[in-house]
Amino acid sequence: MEIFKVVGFAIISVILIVLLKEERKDIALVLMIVSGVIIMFFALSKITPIIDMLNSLINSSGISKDFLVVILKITGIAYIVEFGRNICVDAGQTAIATKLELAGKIIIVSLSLPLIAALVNVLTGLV
Amino acid sequence: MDIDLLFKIAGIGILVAVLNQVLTKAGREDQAMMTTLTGLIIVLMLVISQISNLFETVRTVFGL
Repeated sequence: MEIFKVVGFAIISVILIVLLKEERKDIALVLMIVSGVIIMFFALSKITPIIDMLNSLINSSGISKDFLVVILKITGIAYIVEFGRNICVDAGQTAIATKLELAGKIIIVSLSLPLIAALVNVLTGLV
Repeated sequence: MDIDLLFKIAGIGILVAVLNQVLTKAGREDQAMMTTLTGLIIVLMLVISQISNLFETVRTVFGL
């Protein structure tokens, strides 16, 4: 199973980070970023079949495709903002982490505006 | 799961730490600072290409 590789990789990188933490905090931080990036690469390789299946489901169900496009964009933004936020928190910069999270939320809300407009149209149509 | 990159960076980190100690003991603080900076720059070079790969992959997967 691949999950063993991921867990083993995470444990090894944590050990190396702790080893380097006292001497060189900056290189330990870079090591933490690299291990995060590699694990996210692994997770991303698992996501593509899920997205393909979602696409086929949406096509067969006849719902308009742009809803899924927006949802995928929002997931991608959340993915990256979470990545950056955790790095800032680990480096001890919680202020920057919260600002990054705020920026991510604002971008996500601005992306979902057309969805909200569509929802309102549907509701007013019902009344 | 290319773990060799992880070991490469850890190796550079340990090397810089040891060199730092040796140079500070030998009384050459400025050279110690230089080796620290060069080590950090090398490690950053490695990391930046990885991060740009990740962002590019996320862009293509999620259609951002």
